[in-house]
Amino acid sequence: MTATIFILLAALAVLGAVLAVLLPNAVHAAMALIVMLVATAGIYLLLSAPFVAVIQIAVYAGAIMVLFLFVIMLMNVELRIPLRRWTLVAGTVAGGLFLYQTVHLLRGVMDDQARSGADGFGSAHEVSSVLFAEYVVPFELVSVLLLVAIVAAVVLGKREAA
Amino acid sequence: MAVAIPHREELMLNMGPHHPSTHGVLRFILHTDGEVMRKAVPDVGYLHRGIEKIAERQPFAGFVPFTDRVNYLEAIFANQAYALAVERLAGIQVPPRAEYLRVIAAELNRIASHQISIGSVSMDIGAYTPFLYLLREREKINDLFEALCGQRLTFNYLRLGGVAFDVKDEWLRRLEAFLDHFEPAIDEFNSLISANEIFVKRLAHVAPISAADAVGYGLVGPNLRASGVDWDLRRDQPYGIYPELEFDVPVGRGIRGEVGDCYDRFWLRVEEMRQSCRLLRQAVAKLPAGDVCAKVLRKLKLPAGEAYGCVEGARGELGFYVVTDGTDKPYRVKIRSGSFAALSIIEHLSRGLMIADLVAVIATLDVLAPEMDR
Amino acid sequence: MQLLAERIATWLGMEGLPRQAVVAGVVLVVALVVATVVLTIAGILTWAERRVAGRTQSRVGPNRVGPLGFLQWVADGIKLITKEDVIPAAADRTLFRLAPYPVIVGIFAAFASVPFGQKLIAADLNVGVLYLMAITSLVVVGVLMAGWASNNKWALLGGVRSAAQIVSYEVPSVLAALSVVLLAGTLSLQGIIGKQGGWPWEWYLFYNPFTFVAFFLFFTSAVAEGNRTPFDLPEAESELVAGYNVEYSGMRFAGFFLGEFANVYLLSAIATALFFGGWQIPGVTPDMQAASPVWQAVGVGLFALKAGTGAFVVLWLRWTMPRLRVDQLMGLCYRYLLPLSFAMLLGNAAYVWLVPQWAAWVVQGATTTVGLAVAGVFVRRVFYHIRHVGDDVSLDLARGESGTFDPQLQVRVYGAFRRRHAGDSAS
Repeated sequence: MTATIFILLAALAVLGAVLAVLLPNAVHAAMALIVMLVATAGIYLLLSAPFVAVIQIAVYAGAIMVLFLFVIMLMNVELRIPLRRWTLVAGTVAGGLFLYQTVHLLRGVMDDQARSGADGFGSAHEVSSVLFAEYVVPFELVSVLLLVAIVAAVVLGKREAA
Repeated sequence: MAVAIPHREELMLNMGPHHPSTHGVLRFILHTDGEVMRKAVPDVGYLHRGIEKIAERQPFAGFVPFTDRVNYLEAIFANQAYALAVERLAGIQVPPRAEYLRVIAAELNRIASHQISIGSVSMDIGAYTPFLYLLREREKINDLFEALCGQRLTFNYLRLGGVAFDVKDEWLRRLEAFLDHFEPAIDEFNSLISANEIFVKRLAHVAPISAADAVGYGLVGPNLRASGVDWDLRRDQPYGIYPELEFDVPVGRGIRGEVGDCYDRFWLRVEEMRQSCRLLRQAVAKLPAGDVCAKVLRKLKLPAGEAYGCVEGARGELGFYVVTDGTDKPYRVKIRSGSFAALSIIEHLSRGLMIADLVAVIATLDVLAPEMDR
Repeated sequence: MQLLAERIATWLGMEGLPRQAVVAGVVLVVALVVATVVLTIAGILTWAERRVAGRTQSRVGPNRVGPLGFLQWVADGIKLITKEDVIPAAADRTLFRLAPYPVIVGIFAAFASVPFGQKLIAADLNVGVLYLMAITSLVVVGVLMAGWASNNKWALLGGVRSAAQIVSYEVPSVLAALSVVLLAGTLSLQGIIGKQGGWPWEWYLFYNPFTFVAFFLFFTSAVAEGNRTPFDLPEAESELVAGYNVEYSGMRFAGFFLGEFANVYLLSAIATALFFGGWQIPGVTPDMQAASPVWQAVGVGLFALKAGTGAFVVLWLRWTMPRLRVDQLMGLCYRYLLPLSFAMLLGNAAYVWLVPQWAAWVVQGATTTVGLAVAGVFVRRVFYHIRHVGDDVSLDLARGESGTFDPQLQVRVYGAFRRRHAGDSAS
């Protein structure tokens, strides 16, 4: 049962990801990306990490993708990227590196079957105690970084308007 | 590199000819970035019926019913402006009772028209309920008009030289009962919407018109007075028996924002309804006995000449310029209407406004398509 | 859920069936039941809205189909189903067809974790509050899809407005809800209700001044998220004609429409669970309620009553308030609601941390007293206005008489008056 659902969700996620790359229309691609994100959330749910799953939907599907769509729709973006040779080469190199890294990382956990964590793993309590006790300094640093990014975006936007 | 270059262009929106807020078949072309407009260009002519041309084919008395159609919300004023012009040409003396009845009909009509006007302001701002409350009151005015002349919208009540029907005392009592009821109803309306925080925020400081601009663009009536120009034809260029009646002319004071903003234009109409009630009470009290129509030849032939008759309508000066050539029909009739002037200032006002503001501007300027296009 | 499935399987005498099949079947049935309930609630709300609008505007409202026009929504539904599904020629057909689904899914799926009663909940998630916020954010995607796929500038404007509004107002609404989560120490809606009691002073609404304010922040932002007046800019009839759904017709339009009304009930239901004690009955402990089916039913009724009152307030607002402008809308969110809800969250955190138990009782009592007094004054004002409204219009058509004003001039009896005085009108 779990395996069936996993295969279904994984297939959906892969399909969404592939379509997001291949579809010529930017809005369609964004929709495919949303499908991919929701399917990933389903996989998290399967791993009994409901908190992460819910955050995945709320943040990625609900907020970030909406901003993506916003920009695409308002700017009326047309994707006409001519494939030059060096972009192909650069893409292949970058993609290869990423693939290598992923495989390398996963090899460590691939020895057993993917398993769901201990009791309470992925719950709000667990995530927050890790985030706010163990990694509180990095967390705050990331917040500051985001703040800087927001300020920078505002400054850039203002300058363009003026 | 040719990646995803956004087109830097403004959005051209077509507002109308069928749009709930353009009050009739009126079209605006909006140049906007999505919310803020660079300009809104009005496009007129969708409701042109050639009323001025029709006048040239009608006997003088026969054109009166057509004047009703100039503006269906203030038919009496168009009747009266045309009658004034023709009476001036023919030298007809209107009996005093008829003059009083004209005032009664005109002020009732002004209230009805202002009800629609301020009601649609509130509706365009998003509050639907006050509009229906005002329509409920307007229905009573329509009942009064039906009892007076058998019509509820296009009254055709005035005749050259007087009015069509006399009234009974019973009708006057009903009119007074209506006034007793309606004056508190204005307060009810105010308590419902006029002091509402959102409503005030939507109208105050929005699209103020300076007195110089108002005069320059030829605004008339409530729109002109809201900008602080104290000009009312009933007082400053008197006609009929208005000099014998007491009334105040409300002028925009910027009570919530600045002089000449949307809220002033809205509030001025509320105040004018009170003044109209006052005029109605006086007219009912002073109504003399006598004839209601002078003797006017049925087939009226006028010598060559020209005359301009204008009245202070609900949308400002409504004028009929009549040229005669000695036949029984006008040679040419030109209608001057307040809505057309009000429309012409919108393009000037629209720069930097939001789409929602434009709706408020159209509503508070009380632009009505049929009067504009004729 | 699986436990329930097994119990049902045993009860049906079908132990032999594969367990997965039973689970799948039960999930399907539960989903269908939830969908039906939501559809019914949304349908009844459309009828309620029109009746409320009618009374507010001193007219009658629908009264032909069924008693008090109650079946009007069924008739409307049948009409919408049988209507042609028009798709504009220049529209993006696929997205245009798909757009209503995220809206419906987002709202309907949210109902799965709404605690209608102590045991009447489809899925009691331990991240219930977050789940609600997350799944309803799918609505934005549908709205944007509809606005863009219609290939209509007005629809696009409506869609963009709506998305900006929902994304913005989600923040204060979540923060305000977090105030309660902080106090309850759980994200589960049943857990939050369990921490409250049946009496008003046991509700989180009156727990302390911060939650009292947080409720209004939550309600305001939730109304804004639901695109309801005074925040109905995406559908602003007088500006954008109908907003993102302007090109839709038939059942696809009904999808958006039902979504909106289901959302009205949803926000009231969440507010009920978070702030008003949910299904808790005054004087009855949760254990007593669990033991007795009668108390269960009373709890469900009480929840429906509270949520229904909230929904009524939303409808009432719609027919009373004018509409904000876009900049005012965003200003309200970012200048007032967002800092305030942050302040309430911090205030609650400080409250939990600093205030000792005995002081908490005092604060709770004081907040309850003040809150109930404010509510009492408000209700009294409302009834004062109802009693003193200038013109008492009778809605009884058959009786043909009315109020204080000269009946001859009454709108309602106009026809009767005309018949009686036929011939004497024009003198």
